Amino acid sequence: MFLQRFVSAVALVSVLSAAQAAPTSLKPIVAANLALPAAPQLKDEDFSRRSRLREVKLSPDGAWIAYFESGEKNASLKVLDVATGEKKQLLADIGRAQLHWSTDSQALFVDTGEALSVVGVKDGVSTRIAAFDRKLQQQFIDVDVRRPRHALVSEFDAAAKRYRLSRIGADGAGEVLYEGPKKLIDFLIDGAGQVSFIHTLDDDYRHLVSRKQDAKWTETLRCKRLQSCQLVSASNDGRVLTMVLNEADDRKSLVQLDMPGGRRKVLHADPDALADLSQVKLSPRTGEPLFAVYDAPRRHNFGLTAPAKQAAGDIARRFQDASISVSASEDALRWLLTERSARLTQERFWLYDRKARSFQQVFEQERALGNPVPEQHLARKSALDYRASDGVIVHGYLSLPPGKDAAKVPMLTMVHGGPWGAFENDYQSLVQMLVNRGFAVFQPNFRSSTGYGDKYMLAPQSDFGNGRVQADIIEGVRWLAANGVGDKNRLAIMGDSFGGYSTLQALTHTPQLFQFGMATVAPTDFGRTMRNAAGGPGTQGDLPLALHLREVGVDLNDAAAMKRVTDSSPAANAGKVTRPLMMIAGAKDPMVDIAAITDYVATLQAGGKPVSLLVAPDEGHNLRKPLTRQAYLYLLMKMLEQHLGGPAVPAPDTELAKFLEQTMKANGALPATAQKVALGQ
Amino acid sequence: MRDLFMSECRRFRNAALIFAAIHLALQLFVSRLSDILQMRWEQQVVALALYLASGFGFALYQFGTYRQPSRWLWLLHRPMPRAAIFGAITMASTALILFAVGVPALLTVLSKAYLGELTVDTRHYLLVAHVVLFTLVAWLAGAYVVLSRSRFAAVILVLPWLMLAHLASGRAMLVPALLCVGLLAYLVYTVFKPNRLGPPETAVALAANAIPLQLGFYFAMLWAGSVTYQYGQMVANVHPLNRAVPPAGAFIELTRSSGREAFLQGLKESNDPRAAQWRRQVALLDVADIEPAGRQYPVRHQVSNQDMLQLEDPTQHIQWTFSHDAMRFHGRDLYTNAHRGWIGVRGLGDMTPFAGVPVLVKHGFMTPQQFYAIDPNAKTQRQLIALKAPETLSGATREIGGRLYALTNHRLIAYDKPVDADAMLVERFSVALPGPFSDLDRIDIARLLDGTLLSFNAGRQMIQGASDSAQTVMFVDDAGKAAVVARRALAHDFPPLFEHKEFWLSPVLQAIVALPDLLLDKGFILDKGLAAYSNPLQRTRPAPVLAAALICTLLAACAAWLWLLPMAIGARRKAIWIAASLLVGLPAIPSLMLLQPRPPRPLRKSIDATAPAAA
Repeated sequence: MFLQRFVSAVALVSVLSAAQAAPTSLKPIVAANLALPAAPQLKDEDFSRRSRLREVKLSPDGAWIAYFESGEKNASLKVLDVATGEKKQLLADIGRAQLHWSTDSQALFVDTGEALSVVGVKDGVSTRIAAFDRKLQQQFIDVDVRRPRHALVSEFDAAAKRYRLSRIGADGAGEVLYEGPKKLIDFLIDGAGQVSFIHTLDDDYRHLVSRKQDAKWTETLRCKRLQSCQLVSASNDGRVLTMVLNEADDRKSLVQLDMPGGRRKVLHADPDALADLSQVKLSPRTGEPLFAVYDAPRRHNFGLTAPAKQAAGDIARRFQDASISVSASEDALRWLLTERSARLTQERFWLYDRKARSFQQVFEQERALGNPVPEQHLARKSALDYRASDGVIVHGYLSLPPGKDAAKVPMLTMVHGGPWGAFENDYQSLVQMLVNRGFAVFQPNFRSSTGYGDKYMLAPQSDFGNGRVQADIIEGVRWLAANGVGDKNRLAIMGDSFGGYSTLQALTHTPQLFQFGMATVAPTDFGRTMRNAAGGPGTQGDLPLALHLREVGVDLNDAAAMKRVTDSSPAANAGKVTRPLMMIAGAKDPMVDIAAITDYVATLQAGGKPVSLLVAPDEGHNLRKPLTRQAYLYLLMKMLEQHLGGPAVPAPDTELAKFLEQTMKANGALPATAQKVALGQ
Repeated sequence: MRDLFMSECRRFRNAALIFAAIHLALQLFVSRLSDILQMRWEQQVVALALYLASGFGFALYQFGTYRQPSRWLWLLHRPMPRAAIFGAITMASTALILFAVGVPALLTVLSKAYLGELTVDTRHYLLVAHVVLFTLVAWLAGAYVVLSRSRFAAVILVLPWLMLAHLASGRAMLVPALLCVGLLAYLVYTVFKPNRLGPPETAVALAANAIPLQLGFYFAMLWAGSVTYQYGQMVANVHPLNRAVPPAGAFIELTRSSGREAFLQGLKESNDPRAAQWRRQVALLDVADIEPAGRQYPVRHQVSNQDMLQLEDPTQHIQWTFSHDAMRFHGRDLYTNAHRGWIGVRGLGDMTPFAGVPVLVKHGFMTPQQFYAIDPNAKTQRQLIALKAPETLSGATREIGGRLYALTNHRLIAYDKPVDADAMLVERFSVALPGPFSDLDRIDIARLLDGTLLSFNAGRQMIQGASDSAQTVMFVDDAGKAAVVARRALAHDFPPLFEHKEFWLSPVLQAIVALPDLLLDKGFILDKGLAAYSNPLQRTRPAPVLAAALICTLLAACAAWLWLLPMAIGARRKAIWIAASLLVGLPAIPSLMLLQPRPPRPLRKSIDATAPAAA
């Protein structure tokens, strides 16, 4: 039964994908790249230098742009008068905080996570209106667009097991809008300022949309687990509801529902029939949708009103290779555009004049002070489509060193974690650093990746052994190599979490393809890791992991499917590994048991395999500490130097050398001469 | 007698008044700095030392002034019995001590109870009684030292130390304190005689003097011998604790090794086919450990404090102090001193008393059988662990490899991390300690993929002569089944004669010294199956040690015989001394020399020999 469903699902996806897309022709990409001037070698720190500007936000009336500007030691809150171009400082010495404009554009909400303050734009007077009680999990949710200067705050009373949503005014006065036993995922506020629709999970973790009628919540709509059920807007009478839903159990689209019958009408879906709707930009004044935004494989903004459509067209023509976020409002004459791309280490900001249909860059001076890397020195990220052996089109990205012959450069395959996640067309410091050091970087969005519709995401079901998912990755590498990208003798693979697992799979089942692998926080047996994680404590009110896995096709109780995964796992096939392997693990990883990694490494050592292991103390599943990140980069560069002929890596500084000495538990993957350097000896 | 009593009181009246005033002022001053009744015993012992010094110094001065022959004769040659003279002076001194020491201490306790609303229990009134008794003991010891014929009589101080230095219940400790006062009073009486230089007159007096002195010399010989031996080892650079590398395969090496090193060392001895893989894994893992956080719990009504059982709530300005009478925490407002309620077993406002005096640990309280976690926000406690007596917790839980571990005197218990915050911990597995708890140094824990490796590192009692100490490595599989996979017998750091020195020097005195630990409940965490913390009589002694003990007793008997040979004393007394030396061993000899001195050599012969010939 399972197999039949699986085969039919794969077949359906195959037909759909084959019909919708064709493999990318690599020749123009390779040729265009070769024509580019070669980039100079940049310093490591150039790739991680942050912008001086944060939280750049346009006021709803379009008169002001508020932003944080970081100095040498502290950050200040400033506003730019859009009409005159004058800037003024409202507050100095601001720590980490988020900014939100009040609906009347006269004040800013500053949310520090611990407290909420309101700052007057004209006088800069700051008033704390709420101190968040951590015990009650109080947090800022949004600005209340139905009131001039009000914020919405949520809390959870664990003792009473009650969730609350409250409105807080600029004078600090509060008003409870919702109280109930269910956690609010979404809600809509009607013209009278009352909560009209709520989106919760029922006792079986299914999405439930309810409408308030006669002071009671009445069920309006149910959505399947894991599918989108996002509330966007509602008509004043509550009879027309706009939501983001998975259309035909596949891609997320903007859908209008007529109540009470629930008749559906798709307002907007990806015209290329490829991507999920990633977000809907709303009017800050009315809450009505203005733009539909799609991010796969690159960002497209589609206007939903006449002015928005005009702007979207202008933006698409002006910024062909960039991801633009639009801050728009019906009242504003000029809209704020935030430009991001794979080649921008720091964002650029533009004002779009709706009448003149022109673009004017703002904050050029502040951006220049941040010393961003010139974009011509960085690599383009080319979106790829390639056909897998079962005929399905698989997606991904390729970054090539500018001015280099793609066939002669070593290539690193980077596998994303999740596996229910995806690479995007954005700036990634590690990718750009690797490209700058002369490596091509392939980032496959194999089946199970998100952003391409649920059918693409769910296609593998539980085939996470040496099966469909792994084949998507390996076939992508072979397709590139066969089509003149990457030196076949200088290939490597790396990844974190599931990406690390895939790396181990690659070294196990395709032992001659890659010269080395680098696996970080990597499960050595996917089934075992999922079982352990599913047995741990979940988050209050959220879908338990075991149920989540079942929804994505991984049934931990399906012994046959789990056996297939385990039988082909790296842990069960350690003897097949021949190429050097670098592993990094977190000593306190709640997802991947450190004992599983040490057991695997010990088994490899027993077989005389070249394996290295760094165990980072006090790190969990995400390596966050700067020193650990430094060690990660250093070891990757060292592996590239030793096994792919990468550039020489300077010796680590004293602090890093000491850290490596303390945390490197095994070091067989780096030849003896390198070990001394790696260990700071 | 009354006149002598009054005259002695008058003699020290001014000194007692000044002492009492200074004493009261000091108490008030220290009270402003800290709650002296709740101080840790290490801090209170400083005050105790001052009381002891005062009592001892008082006796030295008092009898020092009488010690001159003329004054001594003047004192004793009164028309009244010796006992009455001694009684009058002792009662006068006791009254002075009561006035100068007892009254200010009692006033301080009363002021705390009725003026400051501080937590004052019955034990604090008992503390006043003990302070008076300690000072009296010091006075009696001082009197004995100053009236004895030899300065070596100072070893008598070992007696109060042996009898009174115990953190047991204040009520129970009244018995040894009164016994000590009685014994010392009798001892002082035996030397309170016209001929201070003469030996004890009766057999009872002889025994009463001999036994404490023998105990004193026992300790003196032990300490002097031990220090000399160890100093010699250090000079020769062979002292196990002092040399660069400790002896291989012995306890010091094991206790200083990291968990990883200990596992690698232990697994060397394993015949298990999985041992090689474990050794490789242990080298890659961070090994954690758990060890007994303490070896002793506070005892209810003990007069001093093992730890300061006080908590402060800075938000509510409340100080919570544990009351031994109520067996709950008593709340006091830090600003107004007003009563602010109680914390019982279930938290704020609960009146259920704790089963035992708790110990404060990280995020909770611990009693011998219960562990409670504190929720600082909700101001509640929830019981996480409940054991059945006599199994006793030796510390708080410790999180290792995603599990919580608790060490008791019987087992190492592993619990699953709780999913429900209000639930008791659920036991995943437990492993019985492979040896006595008192011998356990620490347990190394390495979480593996398919189970857990444990290394029980013993050997703490080897320095006390424990035999069969070993490192035991166990593997506990995922089902919780434990199996020994390696056992490594530990070599001894010191030679057996050093480790068993307390025994062979005098088996009898060693047993007497152990008596307080056997008789008093001092809150020690006991080994499984034992009713007392330490029972040296049950310890196995190697043959060389037994031989050394025998040789020592024979030597002592011979020495006694030789010492007594030229003396003109009765055969019965000689026989008693030789038998006592045979029983007690070498420490009997100095006591014999002190109590049964040889008569001074006659001077006439030498005078004759050196006198010029008559013309």
